[in-house]
Amino acid sequence: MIDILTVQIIAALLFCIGVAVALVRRNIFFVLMGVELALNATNLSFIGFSRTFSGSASMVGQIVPLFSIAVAAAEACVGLAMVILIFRARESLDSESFTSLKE
Amino acid sequence: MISQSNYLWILPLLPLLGSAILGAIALATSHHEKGANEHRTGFLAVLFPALAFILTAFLSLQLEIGHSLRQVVAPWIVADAITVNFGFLFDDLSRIMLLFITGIGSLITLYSVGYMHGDRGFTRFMAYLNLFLFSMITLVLADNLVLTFLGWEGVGLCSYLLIGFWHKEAANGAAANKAFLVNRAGDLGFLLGIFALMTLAGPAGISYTELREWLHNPLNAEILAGQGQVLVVLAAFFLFWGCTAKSAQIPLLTWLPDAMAGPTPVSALIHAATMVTSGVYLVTRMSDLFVLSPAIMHMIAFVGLGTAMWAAISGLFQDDIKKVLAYSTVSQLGFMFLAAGCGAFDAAIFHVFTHAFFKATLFLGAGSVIHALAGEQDLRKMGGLAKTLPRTFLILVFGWVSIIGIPGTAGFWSKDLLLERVYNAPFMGHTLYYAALATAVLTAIYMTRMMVLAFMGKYRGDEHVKAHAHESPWTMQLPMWILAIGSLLAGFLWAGMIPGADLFGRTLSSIVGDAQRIAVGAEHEGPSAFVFAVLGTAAAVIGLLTSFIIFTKFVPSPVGLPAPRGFGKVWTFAFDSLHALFIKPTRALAWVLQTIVQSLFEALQNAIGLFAIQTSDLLRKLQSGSIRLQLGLSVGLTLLIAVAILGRLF
Repeated sequence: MIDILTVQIIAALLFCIGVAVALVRRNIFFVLMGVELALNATNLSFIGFSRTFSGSASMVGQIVPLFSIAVAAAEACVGLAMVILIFRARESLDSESFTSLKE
Repeated sequence: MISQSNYLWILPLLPLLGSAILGAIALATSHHEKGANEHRTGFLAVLFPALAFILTAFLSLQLEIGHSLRQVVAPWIVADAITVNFGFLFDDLSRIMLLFITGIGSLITLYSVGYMHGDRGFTRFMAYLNLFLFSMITLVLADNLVLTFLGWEGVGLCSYLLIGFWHKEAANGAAANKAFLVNRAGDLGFLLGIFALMTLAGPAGISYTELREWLHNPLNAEILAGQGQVLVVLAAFFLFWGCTAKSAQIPLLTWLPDAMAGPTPVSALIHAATMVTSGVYLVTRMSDLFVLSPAIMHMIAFVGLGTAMWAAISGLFQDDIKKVLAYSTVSQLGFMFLAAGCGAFDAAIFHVFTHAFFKATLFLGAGSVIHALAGEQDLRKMGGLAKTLPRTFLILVFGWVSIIGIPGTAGFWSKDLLLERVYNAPFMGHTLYYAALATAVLTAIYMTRMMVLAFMGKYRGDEHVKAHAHESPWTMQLPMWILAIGSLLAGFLWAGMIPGADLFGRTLSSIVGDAQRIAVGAEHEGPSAFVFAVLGTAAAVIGLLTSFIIFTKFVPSPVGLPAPRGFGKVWTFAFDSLHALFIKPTRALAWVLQTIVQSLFEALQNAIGLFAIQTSDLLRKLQSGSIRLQLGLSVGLTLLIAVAILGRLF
């Protein structure tokens, strides 16, 4: 039986790793992967809390990750499609070269 | 006897409806090259005032003398301290006022249909006239001071709109502004008067009938004799202050001569026959209050006499035909206030009534002359018009004999009665009488001067203009003839020397009888009415002959603009100079405020604006477009907010 606190600590660690990857890496695929990792870290946190609480709160903890996974799948589709389009236009995967949205 | 009525609200509604319809038509046709059809709009414009007159006449015939009708339509202001209703009171005073306001108002509207023919603003003009009649009816029909004040403001607004009607000339706009501003100075007095009455009598201080009962209630005698005395004097003083602006008395009289910038029917209706007499109406309506402070009564009498004399002398120097009539209006209003100040409220109202007839006749006749001479108002460029415009001449003669007081005319009966009452007044009556008699001589002189210069001798103007001179159309002729006949015969409603001919006096006695007994005291034996009549006639005839001899010989040369010169200029603009003493410091203060205070505030505003611009410039740099930086910033800020919230929680 894994400790409840351990689950939360692992979730927080995964989240931090995801954010750090998204911030530090310049390759746009890694940024997307970082974001996905952070998203799944929160899902893990939800699952952990579903064991902490009981009754309806527990149900919420199990259902929300399902929704989250569905939305993340859709989001990944859109995100990858956009990356492909941007790559075709710019011929580059470096996020620093996509700065046309500044003031 | 006060009885309830359910129909009084229709009276003011009729012209308001007319104004709304005409205003809508004027707006709808505002973008057209030509205005709406003049026949139809003219018909509508005359219809509603005429219906109001018919209704007034019907109600007046139904109602016996001494009875009155009252209707409370709806509550207006309901508070703990006061309750003000949209209430109407149709009593002996308001019925007289209403009869001549709606009657003469309808006639002058009909005249305007002819006079304003072809003017692009025809419909707008008619809408204003109807709005004016609505306000005037509200003013005299209201059963409380606050609703009267509403009408009082309404007529002021219409006066402003109509003086500046031809607003493409800057001078007309300036005259309209002057009239409005001077009247605002008077409105302040009116409001203070209402406040003083509310302080004195509480909720009863607003309604005319309740205030009357309150003042006559023996239970309140102690208050009136003690601490209330000051408030009575203050209320009377402030209300009279309001009247001096509306009725052009010293010192707030400078606006009326300038008001002649408006179209002539406006001068006839608003600045001669009706609106300017509302001050006399108010003093008469509040006569029960005024007689309680003799000092204010004396002040009214002296202000009235001073105004009458000053304006009569000013009238001598005017070369503009409308200006002569304007000063004569101021002078006649002075006579009315002189009578009111001497406690002869009924004689004052009778003079208001006859004055409405003969002054409207004179103005409309002058308008007819101006119309015939293609807008010429300079008396020096007229002369010999009796042959060219015989009908207009005859109409003006009717008005002229009436204003100077030739026996039998309306002006004779009212002025004679007025002067007799002044002579019998308890305070300095004799002195006031002789001064007023001298003013009557002056009246005859300047009015005869106007007639001689316009109609006698040789024509001095442009021959080209004379060739086109023509009598006016029937829409102008008909009202002039009715008013001219009225200015001959209206006096027989109260012909003092004819037994039984005192309908007017009997009608008013229920309103002002008590007040006059307090003001004048017991009747005492004075000289017989015949003596006054002879003296009054002598004054008229002396003035007439003097003027005739002088002005048939010395004819002014038509050079330059028709403005008073030399001493005449100093005298005429004496009060304008007096006002300048108040206006100049105000202008200086305005300059200080504009240049110094305004620039300070502007600097402050600019500083704030500059700060916002600079800060936003700095913040804008953060929008680099780099995904990593933006993401890092949002994560960092989210963390910051989370830390802040957690910090507050624990």
